[in-house]
Amino acid sequence: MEGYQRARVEPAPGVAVDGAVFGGGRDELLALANGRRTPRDLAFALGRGVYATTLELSRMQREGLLVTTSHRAGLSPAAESEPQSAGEPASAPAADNSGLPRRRRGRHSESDAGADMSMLLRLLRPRSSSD
Amino acid sequence: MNGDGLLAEMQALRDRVTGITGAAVASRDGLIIKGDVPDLNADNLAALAAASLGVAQRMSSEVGQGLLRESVTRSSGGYVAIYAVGRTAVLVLTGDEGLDVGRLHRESRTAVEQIEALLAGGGITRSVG
Repeated sequence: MEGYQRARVEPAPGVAVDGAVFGGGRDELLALANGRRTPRDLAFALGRGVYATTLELSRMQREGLLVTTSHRAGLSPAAESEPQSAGEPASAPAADNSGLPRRRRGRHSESDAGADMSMLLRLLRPRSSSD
Repeated sequence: MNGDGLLAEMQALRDRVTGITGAAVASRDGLIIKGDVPDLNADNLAALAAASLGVAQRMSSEVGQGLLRESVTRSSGGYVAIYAVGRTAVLVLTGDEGLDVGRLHRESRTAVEQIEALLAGGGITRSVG
């Protein structure tokens, strides 16, 4: 159990997450076990006790419902959170030499919220130490 | 160069500090550079993180308390911690309510230095698609 507390778990291949009903609080665990969360993380995410959750997860693993992911398995799936919207092209020349993306005046994101945010950021941009 | 080094650094931090649920690196302009936040909108998180850090820095200088260390938002369900990465980027971390904030601040210092070195060294651009 020592290592298990830090292991990240996900549903075993073939365990249908959608529609399947296991009851006993197991469906919620399976729904949230995404390979990123440890038993402790799942307990906090669900507002349950860490001990009871870890115990239940170890039972589920013994029954073949869950597997632990290897330590670095999350690398590829996590890349999904990369921005999908076509923002500024990567080759756009930056005003500074940092190479980091920059907002440009008059070019807003696809949504109004993005436009508001861009204005907000202009107002809040840290000024030089002179002020 | 892509953002895999950034991703690895953020995941290493997540391994070192119990309770971190997500991490993202954004430019000071609020544009996402690399996000590891599957359940959140990384674009909004990046924009708000940069704005929030800007406000915190203005507050810090207004009250004359020196250099801003970090900006932390604490809610009923968890934390958001924002760190400046050099002058060009920010690191934003989300954590659940069991996050050890003291440990987070200690460990984040090295992570921020690593990320700053990665950004300075490699011409990382916003990866699209």
